[in-house]
Formats: sequence, structure tokens, C-alpha cells
Amino acid sequence: MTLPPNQDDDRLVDFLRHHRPEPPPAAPNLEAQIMAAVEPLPSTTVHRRRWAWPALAASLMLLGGGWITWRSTVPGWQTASDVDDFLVATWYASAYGDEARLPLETPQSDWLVSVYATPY
Amino acid sequence: MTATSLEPEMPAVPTPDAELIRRCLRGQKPAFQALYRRYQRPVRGTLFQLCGAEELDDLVQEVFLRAWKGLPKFRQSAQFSTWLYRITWNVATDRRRRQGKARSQPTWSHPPSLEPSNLTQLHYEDLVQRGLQALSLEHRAVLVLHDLEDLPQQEVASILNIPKGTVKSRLHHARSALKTFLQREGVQL
Repeated sequence: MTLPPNQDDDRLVDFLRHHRPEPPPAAPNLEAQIMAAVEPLPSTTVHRRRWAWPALAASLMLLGGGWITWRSTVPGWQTASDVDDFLVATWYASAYGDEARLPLETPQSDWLVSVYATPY
Repeated sequence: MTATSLEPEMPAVPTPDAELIRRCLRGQKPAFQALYRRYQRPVRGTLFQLCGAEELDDLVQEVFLRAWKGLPKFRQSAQFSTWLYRITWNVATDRRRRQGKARSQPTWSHPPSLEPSNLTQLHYEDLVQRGLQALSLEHRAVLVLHDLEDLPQQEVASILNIPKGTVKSRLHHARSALKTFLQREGVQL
């Protein structure tokens, strides 16, 4: 009668455990040899913690400095007309370049004529 | 691997691994000595099954020195025994690489003091040795860790850094190969 595979495996494992070859004993001085070869650890958790706070402070300062610098480069729009001016200026500049920029203070009719007269 | 009673200077309740590791990180060598005594037997046994008797002391030393040097990077959330087995596996594969062989061919030897009391036992031990030797290092490692060291499949997968499914398939293959070998040698399982 053939045994189910799991029982077959159990028998094999029992056989292996019962007859596994044992390693030869260690040299009598092996433990002492290993302990003698052990050197002081280069960095411990205590050391890591000692460095953690300055590193954290430096990171925060860098973050803060970066934020302030970034804020100074972003245009500070106060009113809707500021936004209008900015959009018009950048739109013309990107489409025609600085030489084609139109005067913003012209009356609306002139302004429209100027737009249609501008070469594409 | 579990704490054994082979630690004469240790108290009745063994100090947990995590506490010993903390002491090691404070530079206390006796704590590492306690870890060595706790784990040297399974490490030695595994290395012997994987690599044979040759250079066994050197390999054991390499494992524990790597462990000592790696302790600052050891994550306390991980299990120390799993981590140590992984180092053991790395040492075994590094040795195979050094030998420059696709399949390691370990040599086993019986010291006179450990000779079995009867010839049948000696014969079966020899068969197990040869059967293990016939397996590739990868298949042998799975079988040794799971069937001989009694580690769960998930832990074996963590140690060898392979999926659990691969552990299952390698285990199946290794057992089949060993069964075939033993039956061919006349062993009735």
C-alpha cells in the first residue's frame, strides 16, 4: 500500500533527523579566538543618537531656508489687476517676444487693432 | 534556534536576545560571548551540513565576526536567529564562490569520539551524508533549515531571501531526490 505523500515525507524527515551526521567538535580555543578577534564596534546606538539632533536641526534649517528662498521668487500678487498684468505680459512675451509687447495703457479699441495687426 | 542550558554563567531565565544585543552595542563583550554560546551549535551544525567539515572552525568564526560587526545595523524588530542564519547562509555561499564551483562538494569526516556505536547507524549516517551531498547547495539549504533545523517555511524564505513558494518547490524537489537516492541504496522508508 502506498502511503500519502505527507506521511512519506514525515518518515523521510524522521530518518534524516535520526541519522544526520554530527559536526566534529570545535577546537578548544575557538571561542577565545573569536572573542579575541572581536574589536570595539565603530558606532553604537548611543553615538547614532548623539548625531541625530544636530542632523535634525540642520535639516530643519535647510528646509526653512529653502522655503524662504522659494517664497521670494514667487510673484506676490495682491490684486486681480496684478494677475491680469502678469498674464498679459507673459502671454505676449511667450508669443511674440519682448519687441512685440504692446502698451497696456492704450484705449481698448487701439489695443484690439494692435492685436490684430500683430503678425503671427 | 532557542536558548539552551549551555550557559553556565547565565541566570535561570535566559537573558533575551534583544537585551544581550543592547549590551553588545554598549561594547560589552561578555554579552556577545553569551550570544555565541547560545547559537554556536545550530550555526555550526548548519555550516557542517552545507559546507562539510573542512574549514568548519574558520567558517563559524567568520559568521560570528560578521554578526558582531553587523550588530549596529541590526534592526531590533527582526529576529536575531533569522538574521544569524542569513549570515550563515551568506558565509556558505561566499565559500562556494571562493572555491569557484557551481556545486559545492563538501567533505565530511567523523571524529573518533563521535563514531556511532553500531555499523548500521554508521551506514545510515554515511547514506544521509552522500544524499545531502548529491543535492545542489540551494536545495540542500532548504532541506537542512526546514527539515533538520526545524525552521518554518516562512523563516527559511526570509533567511534565503526567496519567496515562500520557492521554498516549497525546492523542499519538494530535495525530498524527492533524497527519497530516490535512499531507496536506490536499499533503505525502506
